Amino acid sequence: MLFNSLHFILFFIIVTSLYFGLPHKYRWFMLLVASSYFYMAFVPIYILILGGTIVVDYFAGIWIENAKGRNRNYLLGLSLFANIAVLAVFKYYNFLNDNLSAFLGALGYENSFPYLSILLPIGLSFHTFQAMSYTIEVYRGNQKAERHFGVYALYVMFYPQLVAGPIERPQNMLHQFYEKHYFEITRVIEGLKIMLWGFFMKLVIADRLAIYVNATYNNPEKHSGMTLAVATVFFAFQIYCDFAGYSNIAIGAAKVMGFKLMTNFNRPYFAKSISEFWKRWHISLSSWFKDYLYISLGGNKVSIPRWYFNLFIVFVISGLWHGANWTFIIWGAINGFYLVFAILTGDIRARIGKALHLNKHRNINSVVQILTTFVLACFAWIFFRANSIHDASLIVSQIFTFSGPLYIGELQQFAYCIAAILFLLVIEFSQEYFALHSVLPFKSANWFKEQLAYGILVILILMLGVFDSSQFIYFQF
Amino acid sequence: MKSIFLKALLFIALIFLADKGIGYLCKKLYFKSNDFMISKIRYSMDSTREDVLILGSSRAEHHFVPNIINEGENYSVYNCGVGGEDLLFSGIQLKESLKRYKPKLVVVEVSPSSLFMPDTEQKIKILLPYYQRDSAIFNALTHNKIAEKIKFASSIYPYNSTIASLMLGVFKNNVDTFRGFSPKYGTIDTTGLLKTVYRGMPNAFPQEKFTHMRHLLNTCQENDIKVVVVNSPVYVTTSNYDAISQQIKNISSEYSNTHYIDYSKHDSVYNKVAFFKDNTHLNYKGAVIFSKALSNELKGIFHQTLSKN
Repeated sequence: MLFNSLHFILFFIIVTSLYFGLPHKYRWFMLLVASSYFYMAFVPIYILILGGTIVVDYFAGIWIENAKGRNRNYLLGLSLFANIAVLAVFKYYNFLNDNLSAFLGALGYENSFPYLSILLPIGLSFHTFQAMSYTIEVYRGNQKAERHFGVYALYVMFYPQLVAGPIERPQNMLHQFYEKHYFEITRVIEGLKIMLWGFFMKLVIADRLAIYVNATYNNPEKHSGMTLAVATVFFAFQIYCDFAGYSNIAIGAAKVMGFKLMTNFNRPYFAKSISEFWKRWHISLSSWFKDYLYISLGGNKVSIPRWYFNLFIVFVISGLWHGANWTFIIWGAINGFYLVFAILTGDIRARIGKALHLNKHRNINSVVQILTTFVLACFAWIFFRANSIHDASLIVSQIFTFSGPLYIGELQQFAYCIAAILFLLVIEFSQEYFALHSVLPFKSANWFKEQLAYGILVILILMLGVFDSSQFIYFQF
Repeated sequence: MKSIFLKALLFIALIFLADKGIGYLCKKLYFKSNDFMISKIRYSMDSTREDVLILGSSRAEHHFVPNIINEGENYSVYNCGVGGEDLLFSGIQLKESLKRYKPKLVVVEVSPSSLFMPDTEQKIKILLPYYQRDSAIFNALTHNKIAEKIKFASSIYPYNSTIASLMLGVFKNNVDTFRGFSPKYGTIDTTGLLKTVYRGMPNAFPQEKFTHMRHLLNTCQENDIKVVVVNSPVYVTTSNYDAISQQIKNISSEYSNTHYIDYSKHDSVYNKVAFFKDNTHLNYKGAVIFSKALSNELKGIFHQTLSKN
């Protein structure tokens, strides 16, 4: 069930009504049934995989808490192995098998492992990581093991964030299922407004930009460097609005029922460095990798070369998390390289800045930093979006020629894309620099003005939304 | 609490009214717009009276020049071809025309290139403003899905994504000098073309498209209208292109009123850079040459049909 479908709107209305209509003690059960239905609307049988990992992690949590000494390590290892094994089989097996075939083929051998014709369970990487965060936190003693099986299952399956995050932590979520949430009209309306902004980002911006991006990126050999450069910028906004739009719908839907999900995006294209970009982009995943992998590897409290290695490898693994394809691995590696390079050149850049008196021109300096970060992010996005390494290298070589005519396609379609991006930037600029509201696009002391703005948003969705119920990009991860 | 509820209700009521008001305005603008594509679709749905109707996708739109096809003759021709649309759309255009009159001849462009067009389910939404007109149109738009039907509760939705055309259309002059034909200019860039051509042509036959083709030919047969199925030129063909062309020919031969003409490799333009804009579209020069050749052939075959008053 896609958030941008009428099926979901109906589901949301029914579930929210039932939630507030039922006594508190039955709500967890209703939410669990509703979340199961939500998940099974994609591929019903895969609920068994999800159920299997839930059972394993539920008992692992309790046993880890009760165990002492090395047994705790073994139990955590067992739980992590079970989760990673599911990922390995369903997401990475064919990728590894293909690469093994290529490797053995080069040596003159044949790979006898079969190819698995299986569909990737939707949102597998998201709920697997959320489940792993639970057992790790129990192991670290930051979270008590959850004894209520239904509540633990709901922690993994809570429908707003089940298939594409935010990847929650047990400390933030578990206690919320025990709290009694009342129907507070101001909170409900604020949740609906966040959802509305999410729908706008997805339907009006992301899906509109997707038309141009797909036309160019699916046939890169037909397009000029100029066209591919524009398509790359469009893709940067497409993927942002697609994913942040999803997150906003999830956060808003949860908020309507009284749940507070973590912020997942914080205007990433206003970041002044790649390091800051990663503190603003897919925050729930970035912080997951920081808390559970980067720090476990020693973080920056190791030798300098090892620190660089830690940073780089975390981003390579983050790339692999996104998809079983070399394009994603290279995307991760590029981002890892950016961060290491930024640390290596930090002193030199500071000295150059001082020599150029950039501190006296803070605004200009900020604009240059924002634009530089955006261009670097866009370069990495080429590998994220390209259909293959071959396509990505073709696009990179074409873009740097800056030649050829600009493909416009339908003029009005192109104009909608530009207008959509400008609209987003104006909203985010006002959020960033005038601090009106961190999530909501409009906030005014004047009730009428504020409602008018949201009314216009609804009308714009009806007028310019792309209503083809296209999937969210991050569903495939 | 009560006042917030009332405000929320007021907000919903205002949205409802705004939707109705803007939807009404869009409808007015749509049916007065001078935007080329909107006025062309409107003309093909509401006003055609020509002796010869040309139907099809962008390959019809950019290949058939009505002013050349009827040059020196006393029959009228209109090109109803619309880019991105398939034979389901053409069938609807024909049925709407039949509500007014019976054309003497229908020329329909059917080729492997037009049969393999992607996203035609979405492209048919160009007919959204006509959703109330006919159950066939409504079904084509909604595929009988409740979720699709509900969208029509909004009065703005039928004009979704057309606002720029509607607004700009007000300031344009309606000059359709080419009678529905839309010329393409420039020549094909053949760099890496073969790779693209082979990548873009799937092997499976598009059975659903053949069903649409049969529906269209059935409609013509039931109404005793002569049909010419034209497989118009491409710059270069592939092996499965010929196999699918043969399928098109076979289906055409099932109908006694239908004549099939294969121009896909016509000597005058085939593989000649000067006459193509891209692999599947002739440029203006190519369209003129092709239309002259077609005109001569039509006059030869359908002389009696076209000369009747």
